[in-house]
Amino acid sequence: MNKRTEQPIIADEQIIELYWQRNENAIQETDKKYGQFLFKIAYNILHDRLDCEECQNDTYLGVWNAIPPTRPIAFPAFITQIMRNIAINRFKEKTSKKRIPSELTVSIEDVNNILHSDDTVAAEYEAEEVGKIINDYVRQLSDRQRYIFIDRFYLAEPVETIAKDLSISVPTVYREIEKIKQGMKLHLERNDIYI
Amino acid sequence: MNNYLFIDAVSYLDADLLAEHLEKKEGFKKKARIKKKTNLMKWSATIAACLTLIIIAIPVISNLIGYHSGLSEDEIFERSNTYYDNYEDLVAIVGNDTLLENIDFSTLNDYELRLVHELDNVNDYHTVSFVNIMPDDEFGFGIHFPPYNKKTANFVDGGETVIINGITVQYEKRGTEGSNYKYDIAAEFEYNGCCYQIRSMGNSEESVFWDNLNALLGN
Repeated sequence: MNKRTEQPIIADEQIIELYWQRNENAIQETDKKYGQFLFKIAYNILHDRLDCEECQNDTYLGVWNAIPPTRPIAFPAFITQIMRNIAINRFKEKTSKKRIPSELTVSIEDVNNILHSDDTVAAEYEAEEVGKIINDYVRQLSDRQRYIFIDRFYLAEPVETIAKDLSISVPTVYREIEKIKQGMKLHLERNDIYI
Repeated sequence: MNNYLFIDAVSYLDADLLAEHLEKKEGFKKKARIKKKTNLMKWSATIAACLTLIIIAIPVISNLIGYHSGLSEDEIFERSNTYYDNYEDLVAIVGNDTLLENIDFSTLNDYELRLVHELDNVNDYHTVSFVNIMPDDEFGFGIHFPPYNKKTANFVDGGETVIINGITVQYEKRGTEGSNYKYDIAAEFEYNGCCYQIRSMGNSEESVFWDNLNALLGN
């Protein structure tokens, strides 16, 4: 699937059009343009090359099945969501069996003492409802904190990568994560989610 | 305890937030690619210095690896770095004979004060890190307490020298091509047996660095 050709990389709109035409080149073009990126998302979560490749193939199948009828406005975000969900499901299967050295595990532990559910909480709030509240919180963050939140907790990027992207120090990233956690705790409490 | 509630909730991140984030990320990658295309000569001195650092630090690193085996980087960081909300608590550990005494913490909008020490032992410390976090700039420095290795402490490579309040400061203006900043300055000096290494960067003016440096040196 990871073929490399000398042909130019085409625009997202053209890739989406290939899916609509049911042209199988759509998957090749997606892999050419986003293959490495998708693999990295999966690797941050799973840390296993074989699992990542399987998830990548499942992602391409998922995109193929979704377009049409969908015509995504932001294709990178669309495929990222699909890949992340697939990798997360694989992650859950694996962590029930053994511990895996995943950035996702580390980023979960970052908020482990903030957000958890017992039977009562889970009965009241589904993940989607909590997700809405977290979305509100993320929108209130500064640009830098929002970048750190999404990179760390959605994409499970290592702290060093985040520090490099933002041209700040690793300790500063850790400090911002701490602030984000504290702020999220307060925001959750304001919405009747108590720790 | 259900760890997956958070993971699953974050999965519902709004698509527009994610799309905007991915665009920014792509932008950072492009800047990083541009920054990589630098003159090799510029880095040769840095590489030589790094090799010197590695050769000198091998025995230290070997000890650390042995001592820290089994711990993740995050765990090592958390157990060897302590943050302080106020200067007085830090003074109780490191004393009041550092140049932190010249900083008026009450005037600072936001700052980070951190002690770097051996695992789980604040009393066996070797560095204090301070960062004055301003809206568009950062001024930070590390105080390295003796015994520090003078060769590995070399932070400024060449550059210029200025004397402020009787203290000789070596400083270097670093390139900002490919970065988000208008200025990026590193400086280094010795005071009271300690090595101070400063890094200041931002989008305002270089005068932010000089104002903070002068304040630090009691000028």
